[in-house]
Amino acid sequence: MTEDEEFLRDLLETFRQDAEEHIRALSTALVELEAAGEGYAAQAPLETLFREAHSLKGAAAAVEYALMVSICQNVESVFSALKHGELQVTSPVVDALSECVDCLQGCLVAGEAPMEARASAALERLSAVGEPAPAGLGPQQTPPVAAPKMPPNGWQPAAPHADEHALPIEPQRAQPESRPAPAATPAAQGAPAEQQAAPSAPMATATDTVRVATNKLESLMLQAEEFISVKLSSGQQATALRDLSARLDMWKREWYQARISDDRDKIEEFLEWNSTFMEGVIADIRTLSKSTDDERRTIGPMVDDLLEGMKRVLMLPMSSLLSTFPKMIRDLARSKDKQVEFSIVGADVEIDKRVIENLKDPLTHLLRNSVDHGIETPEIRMSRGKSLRGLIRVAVSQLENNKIEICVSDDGGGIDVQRLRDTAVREGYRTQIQVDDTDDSEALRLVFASGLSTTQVVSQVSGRGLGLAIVEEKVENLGGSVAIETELGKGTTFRITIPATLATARGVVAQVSDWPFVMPVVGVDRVVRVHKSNVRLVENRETIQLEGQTLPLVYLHEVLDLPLKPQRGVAEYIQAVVAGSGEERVAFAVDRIIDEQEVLVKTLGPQLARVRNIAGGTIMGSGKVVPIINISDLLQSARGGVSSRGRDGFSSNGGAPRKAVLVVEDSITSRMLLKNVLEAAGFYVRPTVDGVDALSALNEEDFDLVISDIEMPRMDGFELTSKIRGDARLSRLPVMLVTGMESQEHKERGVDVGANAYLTKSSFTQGTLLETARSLL
Amino acid sequence: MPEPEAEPLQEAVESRGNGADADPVREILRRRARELAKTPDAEMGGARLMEILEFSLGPERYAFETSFVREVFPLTEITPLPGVPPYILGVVNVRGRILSVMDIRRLLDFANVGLTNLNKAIILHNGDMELAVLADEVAGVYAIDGDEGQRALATLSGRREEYLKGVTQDRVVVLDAEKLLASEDLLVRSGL
Repeated sequence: MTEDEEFLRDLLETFRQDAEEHIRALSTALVELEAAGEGYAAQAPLETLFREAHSLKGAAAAVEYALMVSICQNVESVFSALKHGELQVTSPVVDALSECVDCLQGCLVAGEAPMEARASAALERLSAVGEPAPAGLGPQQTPPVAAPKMPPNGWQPAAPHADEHALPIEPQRAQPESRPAPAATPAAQGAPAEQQAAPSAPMATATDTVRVATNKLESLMLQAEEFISVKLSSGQQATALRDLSARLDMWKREWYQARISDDRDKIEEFLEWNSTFMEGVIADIRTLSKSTDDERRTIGPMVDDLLEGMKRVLMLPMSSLLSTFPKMIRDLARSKDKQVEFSIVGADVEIDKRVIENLKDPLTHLLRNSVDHGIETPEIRMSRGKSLRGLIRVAVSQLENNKIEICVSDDGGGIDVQRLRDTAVREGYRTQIQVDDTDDSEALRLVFASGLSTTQVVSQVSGRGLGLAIVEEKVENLGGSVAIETELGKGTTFRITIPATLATARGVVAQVSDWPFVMPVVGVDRVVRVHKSNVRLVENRETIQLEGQTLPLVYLHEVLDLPLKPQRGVAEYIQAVVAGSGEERVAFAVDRIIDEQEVLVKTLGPQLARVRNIAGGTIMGSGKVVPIINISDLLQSARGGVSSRGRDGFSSNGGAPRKAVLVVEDSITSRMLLKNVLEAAGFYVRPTVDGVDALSALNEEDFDLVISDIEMPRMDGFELTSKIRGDARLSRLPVMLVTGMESQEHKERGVDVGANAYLTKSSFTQGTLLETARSLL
Repeated sequence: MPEPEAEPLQEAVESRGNGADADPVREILRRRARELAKTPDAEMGGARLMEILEFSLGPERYAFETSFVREVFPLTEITPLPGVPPYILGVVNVRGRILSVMDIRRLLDFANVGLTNLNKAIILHNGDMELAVLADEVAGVYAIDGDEGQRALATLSGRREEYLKGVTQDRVVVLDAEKLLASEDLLVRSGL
């Protein structure tokens, strides 16, 4: 490829990127304009339209896309007329403009040549509706009849497919309004050279690029720059190590000299030198070790941040996809003589770019379906007593378990399941017996069968029955699923659930009953610290005051059914996370707020498809899995009324204080088992891993019973027992030893050191454990 | 495969001690000889072997078919979760992925006999499902006769019967990993 060709290709690529954004903006603003109608509200979209058309014209002129220039120029003059109130915003005007925008898109995708005929027609139509455009609007004041006749642009019909290849880089013809194409986007400059496509459709097979907000890139750049200091310091360390190694070589020579020498003085001299030398070396190694350590500490977060930053670059808001739909729906509805109101919720939810790309087709199919089959004509709607204007809604929301749900719903006619059954039989997809056996929801799945459609007339838009099969396939390829709900006469909802694999969330890390967890910041209003005296009982529920609003105070361990860690010391302040919004806020009391940090949301594995109150998990730096709370579940659970249950260390039955058991066991599974059994029986359990750990726990809290293993690292059960017996405060604390050692000797030794009971693991049952524990309390 | 081994030879031998004549024994032996003399047909492919991974859990010995075992993973930490069925012990971090850990004894109501000491998780998988099963010690991998693994215990019922494949001659309980993985019953989907 010659330099010129390469330049041309880069130029075209840049143009394509740029033009696509302008066209998208035009589409969006056009729909807004129509919605706004006349007057002040229409000014903002008009301003956008005018500006975008103008910019696009400039860009197109720079790469000699004459047809596009011509179209832009014409729509621009209509926008101008609209802006000055010389033309009214009417549906025919918007239709004509919309068709022009489509032509622009067509030029971009297919090249200008194939679009000639359509563009001429579109411009003719535009000139017809824009007829009253008065003089003084510039060179296009006389409405153009057809594009080829537009002299100012010097546009000539090009030979089919000749345009892209023949695009010369010769000086441009005089174009007063042309200006250089805007600077290349950063992403476009990275376009690989191999992407030069077949001549027939060079623009369509474009390089895969991402537009990245400059602030994201700047922060990545800053992070990358920080690595320079790491490079420098690792260079310094390498030098220091080399130096050290050279000095040790010298020592080796000296030592050799001294060793072979018979001269006592010389040896003594060496020893003296050696002592100073070694001190120097030791000091140097210490410094080096410290600086390496420091560096390791620095580089860890740097790498993490950079990685996180890169991941975020690949996350795009759903709006990047959804913004193309309003115009599509509008045009489609117009062509079907239907009235449709389209709304989007949750366009700012960010999803991995690769997922978004694969959602385009399924969503387009579903939306087309909704307009074509879902929404009825105004006449039918009127006869059904619905508002004339049909409603189509796309709602994107983040679900638990790192999933995204996209709901495409309409308030149209719904799907006639019986007719679906009949069609399936008629078309030979199912036998009569088969469909008679299926229930409605199962029969509804038939819409996903390839080739099946209830539409009597195969319309141009959809209805060939292939659409939904493709939707299902695409979504399933993304690891997601599609569900349908429909009510005849009321409407249809398609619910797409897909994983947003790389989704991250900011979360408040807190702890309750020794159980750390993350609360996603999205659902958290704030974190508060309330003095105990400010907790008031209102209608037998504890509440706190926040900004003049009374919020229920709910103890998180109760909602989650976790055992309460007895707070023997009186905590003056209660720490709470306020979740929810507005009137629905609830304060959740926790033991401790630890931190706020960025977490990578992961699923809990395929077996745990949904766990109440838990949205997923994240892996902390220590490798520990920490659960992420599902705040909407939590709010619901809290509203479910938990205040009936016991709190403040009192169990609900009888109001007796919960007994606290210290479990000492180095095996995690045994520890968990003991904990589960004891907790289920109503005990508070603090698990520890060995005698040393247990002793420190005994110093922190009061316990009613110790259940300990014998063989453990650091301090075994015998030693722990004698330490407990030797401590004045603890001497009366009952100790139960549970062990795999079954010999009489061990049993005796256990009794010797002061254990109250001795249980062997092989005979261990839930019953004996609890029985023995209760007998000791 | 036909079932020649299921013939009640034992009974026949015992009944001889009770004074019955020896003919039934001979008859059975003859029939067995005929069965053995047959060339194994294509369907049989010789002895149908099943490779299993044996592990211990408390005093019990269990096994899974190795074709469903992805790896044996050392357990260092389990994060318990509130609101999950008791047979789910919690979740673990397996190289950056989170997996649930099941206690098979609780699932099969063998629970609470014996405490475990060594901490391993056997990771089972099929195409869609992946989960970890708690184990104490992995005894090894070996092949058994496929039919042996299939032999059911008559006394079992409910979940035990459902997830048990059989018991080997060494009285190792072969669990049905395929069913465990495919079971809708074990999938946790707790809504509100």
